[in-house]
Amino acid sequence: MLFLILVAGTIIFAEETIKKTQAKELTAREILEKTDAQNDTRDQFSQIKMTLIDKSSKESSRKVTLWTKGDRKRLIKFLAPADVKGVGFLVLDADTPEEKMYLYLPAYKKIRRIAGSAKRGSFMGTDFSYDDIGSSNYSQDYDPERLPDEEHQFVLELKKKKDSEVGYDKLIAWISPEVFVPTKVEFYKIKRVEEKESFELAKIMTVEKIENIKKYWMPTKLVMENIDKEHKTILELDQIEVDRGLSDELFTLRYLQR
Amino acid sequence: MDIKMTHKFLTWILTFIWVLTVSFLSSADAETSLNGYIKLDERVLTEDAGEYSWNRATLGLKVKSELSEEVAGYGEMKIITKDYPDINSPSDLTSKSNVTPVDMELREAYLDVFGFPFPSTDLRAGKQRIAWGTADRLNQVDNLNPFDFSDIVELGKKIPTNSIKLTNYLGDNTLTAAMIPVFTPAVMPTTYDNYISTTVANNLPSGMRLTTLESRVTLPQNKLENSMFAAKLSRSILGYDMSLSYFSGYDNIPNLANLTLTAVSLTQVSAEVTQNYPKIQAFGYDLAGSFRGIGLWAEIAYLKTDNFIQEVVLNKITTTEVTTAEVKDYIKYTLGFDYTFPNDFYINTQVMHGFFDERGKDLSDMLLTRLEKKIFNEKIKLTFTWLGDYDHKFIGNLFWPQITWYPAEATEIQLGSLSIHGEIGSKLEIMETLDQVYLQAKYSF
Repeated sequence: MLFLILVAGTIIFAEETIKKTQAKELTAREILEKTDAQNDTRDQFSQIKMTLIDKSSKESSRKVTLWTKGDRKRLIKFLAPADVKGVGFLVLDADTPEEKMYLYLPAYKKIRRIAGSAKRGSFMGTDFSYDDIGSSNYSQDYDPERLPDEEHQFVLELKKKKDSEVGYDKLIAWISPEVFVPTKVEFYKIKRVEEKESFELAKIMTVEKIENIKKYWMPTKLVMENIDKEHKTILELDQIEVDRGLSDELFTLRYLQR
Repeated sequence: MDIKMTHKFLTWILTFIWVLTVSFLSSADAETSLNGYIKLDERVLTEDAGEYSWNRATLGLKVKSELSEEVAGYGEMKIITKDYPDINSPSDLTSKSNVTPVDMELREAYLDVFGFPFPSTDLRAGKQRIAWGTADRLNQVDNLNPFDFSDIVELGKKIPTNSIKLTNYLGDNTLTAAMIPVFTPAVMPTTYDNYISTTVANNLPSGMRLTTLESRVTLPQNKLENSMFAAKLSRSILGYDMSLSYFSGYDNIPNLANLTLTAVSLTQVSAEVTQNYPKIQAFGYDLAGSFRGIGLWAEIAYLKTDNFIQEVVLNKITTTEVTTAEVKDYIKYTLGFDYTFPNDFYINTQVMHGFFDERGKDLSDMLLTRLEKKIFNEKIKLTFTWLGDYDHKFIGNLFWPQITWYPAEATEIQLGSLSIHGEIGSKLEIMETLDQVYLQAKYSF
């Protein structure tokens, strides 16, 4: 019996050691690709509650429903507060040069095409930008470089690619080696003072809860903190469904206004 | 039945229909939501020694009901307190409806049938807004609903009308067809009477004085042959959304069709003004897209007129002179762009060739620029709008600063002012009396 326990223990230890050795050998690009793959769902549905907390700890909240299909299609319907209820936001060909964004305003019965520059702006007054919501393909927009691991987590420095239009110039991401989900991301922007460039910390995102949904490990509670504004947003995902075969028809102007 | 009684009767009818609809939809197996808002609006005219021009409280109610995946209904109504007590005689003091008068407006009430009559087609029937065009409020191809000029703060606002709309989605193409059975004229601004008297005064023979002015309006008859039709084909080409549209109906802004001046003595004339709504066809093209992060849009309308006459008849003591001008086919357009800077500063600029009320070849150019910046974690929004009337030089300017405060969820308070200046005879000169300061508060639920 003791022999069996010893053998089992040895096997488990060996597996862990192999995993750790393999993990240590992973390149920055491989880690980033594995991280992206964790969110590589065919489609996704979730209800998102956003709690905004200002520097005097005053809270307010927002609620939206989010549908995504692959990396390229997103539909957001605003549920609360009442003054934005019914507003819809559709993104097609997301994160490509052909990206198209539409906003449906029920009060005007009108769909408006939104300029690309608007996606850098705040999403419903939260600390997330339109770009942050539903977007998580880091490999496409950033070149990774591996930094020394910290507290058993991979640490990557991601620098914006020259042709990318994302709103941040550099990220530092702490990634769980077990599930390849970022547990913390620091967002930096370039600050220019007298022709000197430096990276200034703009936001910090911390993942507080990770859940396994079907085969995917997904962050279901995140906190985004805006350093400059001393403001933070807690984002909680609920009723998550993945790979349920959402139709392409959902991501059309027809459904945006329904 | 006098006008007051008719109004009261209609109000009760509308209330009844509203309650009935809500009750029916709530009792059926429908997913029904009731939302609305409360809005307070106080305005003071600065040109007129602090006279209150608006003193309104509005309760807006919106009901949306989805009976099934295929059928849904929507209704929106407003109950608005009128600006002042309506007291014209001592007996009015005994009437609550005169002391605290209230207006009721059914803004929209329509039924949606999705996938009807074909799976790729949606039908919407009822009182509805059909918004066409890509420009920001300065639309040139949006001819289906009449203008509502009653509130200068809501520039370019339209009135929903009873209509039937069919939208067919075939691949990347969207084909929309609409029918508006009965013509509805635009609601004209409060300065419209001034505009008529100024036009009459400009046509008076020198040395003559006006004694009486009679004005009448001729609307198209409510007949099937006068129904209005429109169609639009939209699709995306090379990343830009484009539409071709066609409208056959009536211009909803009145045309001064006939001005008859009759000399009643050697120095005095009486005037009769007849206004009508000429038949028009509008061929439209619009485009919207984004280039290097800049939002771009364009709208162009070719308007083909039918018997669009403006006639001035001068009956002198012994002779009659008739001057006739015909409004020929013409083109109007709007070009615009917007951009959000990395610091969230937003700019939106449009050039409009041919303002809403202008027809013919002699069209003015308007430049509208709006600047926005949100501060204090988007608790406050600063907006500055400038409208310039350009005719080789700027002959009129409208300056419109506004500050919006969001003190709590679904709540906004706006403080703004309108300052209008125009050279004599310009469009904005007539509107100078509308200089005002306003305070609005809105809570949505």
